[in-house]
Amino acid sequence: MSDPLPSPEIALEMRGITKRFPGVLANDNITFDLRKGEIHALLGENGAGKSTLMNILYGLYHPDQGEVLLSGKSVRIHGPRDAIGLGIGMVHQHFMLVPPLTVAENIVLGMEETRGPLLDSVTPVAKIRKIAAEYGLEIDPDAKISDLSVGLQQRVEIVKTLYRNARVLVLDEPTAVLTPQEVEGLFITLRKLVSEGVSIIFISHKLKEVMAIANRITVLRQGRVVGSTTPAEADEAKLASMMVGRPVLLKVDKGPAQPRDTILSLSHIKALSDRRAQAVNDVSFEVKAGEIVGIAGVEGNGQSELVEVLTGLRTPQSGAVTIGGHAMPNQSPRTVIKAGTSHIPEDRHKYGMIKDFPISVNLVLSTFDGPPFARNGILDDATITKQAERLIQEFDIRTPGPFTKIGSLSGGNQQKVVVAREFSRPMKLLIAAQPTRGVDVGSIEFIHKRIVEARDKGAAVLLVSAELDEIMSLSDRILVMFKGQIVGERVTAQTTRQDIGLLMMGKA
Amino acid sequence: MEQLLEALRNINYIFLLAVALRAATPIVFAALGGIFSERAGVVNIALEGMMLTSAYVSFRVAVMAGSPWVGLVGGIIAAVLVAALHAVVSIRYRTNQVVSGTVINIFAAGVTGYLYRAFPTTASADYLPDLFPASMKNLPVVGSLIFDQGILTYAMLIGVFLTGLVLFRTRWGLRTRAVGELPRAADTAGINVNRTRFINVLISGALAGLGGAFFTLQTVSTFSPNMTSGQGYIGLAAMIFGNWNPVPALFASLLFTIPQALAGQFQLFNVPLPYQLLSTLPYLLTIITLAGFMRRSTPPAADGIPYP
Repeated sequence: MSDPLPSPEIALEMRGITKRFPGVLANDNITFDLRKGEIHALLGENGAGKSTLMNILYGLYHPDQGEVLLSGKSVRIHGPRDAIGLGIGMVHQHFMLVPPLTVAENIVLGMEETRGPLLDSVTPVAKIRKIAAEYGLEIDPDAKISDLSVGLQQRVEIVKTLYRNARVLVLDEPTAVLTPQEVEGLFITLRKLVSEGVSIIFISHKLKEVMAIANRITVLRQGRVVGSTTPAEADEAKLASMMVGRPVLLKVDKGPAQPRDTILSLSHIKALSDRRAQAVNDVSFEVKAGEIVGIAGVEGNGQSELVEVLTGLRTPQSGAVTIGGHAMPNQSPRTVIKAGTSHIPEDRHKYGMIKDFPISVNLVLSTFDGPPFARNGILDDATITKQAERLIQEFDIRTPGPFTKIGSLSGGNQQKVVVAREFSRPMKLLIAAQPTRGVDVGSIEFIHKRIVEARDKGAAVLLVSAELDEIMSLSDRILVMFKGQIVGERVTAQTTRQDIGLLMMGKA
Repeated sequence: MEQLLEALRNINYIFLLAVALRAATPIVFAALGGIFSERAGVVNIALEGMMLTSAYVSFRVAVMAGSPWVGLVGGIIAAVLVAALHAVVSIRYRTNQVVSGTVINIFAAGVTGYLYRAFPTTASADYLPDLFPASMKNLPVVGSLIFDQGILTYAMLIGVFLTGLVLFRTRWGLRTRAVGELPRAADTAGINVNRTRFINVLISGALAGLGGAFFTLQTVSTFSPNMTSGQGYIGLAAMIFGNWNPVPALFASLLFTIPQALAGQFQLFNVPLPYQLLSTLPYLLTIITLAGFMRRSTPPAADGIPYP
């Protein structure tokens, strides 16, 4: 649990920050302070304004109103260079590391030391080693970024900020891509950093982690500060309701699974990635009607390619897939759909929707070509509209109407459109890949409920998620994928997060 | 067949290599220009047009000033101006870079062709001077390869070395590579992405300027319409073949020019292979390279994508 506040000294203050984007008030008069040697969590859903606020602090955006004070002095930050100069470091959610360059090259980028016309490659390496030793952040300066695990890349990002003498460190969703063990390691590092006098802003939407690491928690909702609290005073349920604005069901309500016939069966599937690496390496498993099988794993271990093979989007090198008894590999996505498969794709923008088309059309993207939505090759607009109105109601899609372009909806509502479309067809198999990515807590609750309902109605469900909490709370069985292989299978009721976490790192 | 074997026995391969190296000069300059531009994230198929512009301008200026050196400077400046146009259009106005490059190539061909015909001349430009005395060129074995090259060919070889040095050993090169791979990372590190890109496109223009001057100040001393005949494109193919690295790009360029030189030798030895067929080899190789190796090569990740 958290320590008492380490120091009353204010390291950083943001006063009355307001930032408008066309049509959105992203930050509405936000006031926020960070004490020296403190970990202050900024908690909020996607779109609550956390990232906007931090991008203002880092000089990537300029506030319409308000000011930033460092150690009590008002400062102007016009760009990242100013922020770096003021001792503000940022670890972005999507790492700002250039994959083909080395660790040292990435760290010195922008503040290189030179000897004559050439780069000095000796001094920085020594400095990196010194920082590594001081903070327990071991790293090989000559390694290529593309060869490092995500956890190590994050370590490079932290070293990068320390190399620039950061005294205020902003971490944007730092645990999103880490295994539970890596999260533990990160927390140890962060505690070490604050003990050395670094002050940390920890941005997250994960309640557990915020409770575990923060000294103070400030909750944002719709661009405003809802309130500040400490882990001692709050609990997860209270934080969740502050985030969402109403009480939220944190646990998924589901009974035991009643598995029946095998619906999906894979044997010895092998597939290459776009970069021609062996992404899926001899994967075999089955999913039965009435059960949810979760595939856990750090992203990039072949899950995406596996789902693409199952949905007909990628041709496997070898292996067999059957869905409901029909042999499937090398079939078109259309055939897979006709066999009773529903698919919530991991990247809805790319595979799940057409952003400039109205909601009504997006809702019939897989069924528009036949009755009742088309007759003799002509679309029946009245039926399509009626269907849209029905699904908007049923799936609680918040939109001005069925003809609104889907691109103008919030992420959660876009995802509900995708879910509504996929659930509107007869469903034998549901393949849900990252079904709640970039979706607000309210919608997560809703989508989870629907997935469990699908199972209870007899669908076989394959859930692929990088969020371990989602896997743990929804799945009946868990398969762990690592480097293209299934490295372990567990029954959810008989395993722990730690156990799965070890498997995710290939250690078991 | 017999004639072919006879020819292969009698060809002076050192001389062949010397010819191929000479012919590779503009191709390598284009490839180096492409490397600077694309490593920074700007696709530059306008190199062909920049070279043609430089060929024309360096010829005119050399004649007018009576000095090939002034002509060379004029050609470089002209190519840099064309590069600036490409940079403004594709960086400032975020136009599709292939479209911008294509338009520039068509424009350059049209304007230089028109100006050449509109103001006809019988004058010829003086060649750039030789670097080594004639006695050294006649040295046995390597004389023709090492000492009998035009000054721009030596400049090209130095250019290959300097490009590697700048790209991999200097601050500018590190920033250039970062900007072409992950511009957001460079931006958050406080680097001005678009300024870095702009300057690299200008550098590519200067290199194309050197390549263009090769045609009129080192090879034929006069201009003829469309005289670069697609060598800028072959340079881009060499760049891809060499995976955006200067030394491999030099070897790739030789791969294109050696068949050409061989064709000349075959003609000399009366080999009954149609010369025209052999002359198409570099172009054929370009197509095969682009079709086959493009998939296996890894261009800079942000190549062709405007920022932000």
